[in-house]
Amino acid sequence: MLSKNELRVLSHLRTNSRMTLSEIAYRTSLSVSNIHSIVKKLGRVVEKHVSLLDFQSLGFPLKVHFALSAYNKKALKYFLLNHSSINSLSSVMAKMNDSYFDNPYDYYFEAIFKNFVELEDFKKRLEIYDIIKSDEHLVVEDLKKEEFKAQKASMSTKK
Amino acid sequence: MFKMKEKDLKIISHLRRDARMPLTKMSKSSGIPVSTIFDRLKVNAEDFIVKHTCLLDFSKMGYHTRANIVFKVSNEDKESFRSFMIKHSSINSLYKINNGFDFMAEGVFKHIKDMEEFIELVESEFRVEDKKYYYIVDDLKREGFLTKEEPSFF
Repeated sequence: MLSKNELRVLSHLRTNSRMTLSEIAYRTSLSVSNIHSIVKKLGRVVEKHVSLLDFQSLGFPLKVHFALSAYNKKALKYFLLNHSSINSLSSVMAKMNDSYFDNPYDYYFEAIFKNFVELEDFKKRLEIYDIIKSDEHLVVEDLKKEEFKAQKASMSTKK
Repeated sequence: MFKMKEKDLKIISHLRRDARMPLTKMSKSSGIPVSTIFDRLKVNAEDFIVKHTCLLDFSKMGYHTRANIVFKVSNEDKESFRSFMIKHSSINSLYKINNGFDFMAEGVFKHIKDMEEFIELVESEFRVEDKKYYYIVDDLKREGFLTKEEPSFF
């Protein structure tokens, strides 16, 4: 469990992880040395600091979410872990309404592409892994991203 | 659209690996002068950086249930559903999607019971026509895109 001050500092890092320790100190009225020690302790719950990108503005307008199950799970996992288009990958189990599938999904991932040709090419490559079941959702718009325990009015560097 | 050059990709890939990296360290690692990195970020960052954040190990914080939930909502309730989910503190990320569903929400909860209660609340407040849950068992990769400088990106 995080303390009240740890949560306060974390909320600032969630909102802008490039914020300096002195800026966090100013906003929280805690000393810089206290902030320094809190940030060090938060290392146990922070996996990494990352800049979230607008992929569309970088020339990658297609973001697709997939859920897959496959006979060839291990090879599929290796393929997805190493594929440059895969932004995020989780192992999952699925439930539809109130019942579990007999063959639950194995993986849920987010993939980024320049165009539909790249997307179709990627889907063709997936076929060799003996896909049992697949769901696919094109992301039309990001409405909220990594806001859990962030400041209420999330600061975005984007115009 | 921002036209990404090789230098930009180097800077971006460093920020994707560690958003708190000092510019001096980034300069040493990339071979790009600090002043150039500073200028590129000052002029262009707003075009493509949404925010700098930290990714959390939710289970170490006591939140043991995470799920990606896709919803199909009646047309009349879409706007209010969207507002509700944007404001709700248990929703980490939210997307508008297609292919038979309207929204994908990543929910973070302490226990499965909390998630079930949340879903009951959502279904009592809004006309949910269909839903599907994908319970996250383990994160294998998070925000990995553009962490490496792949020539194929150009």
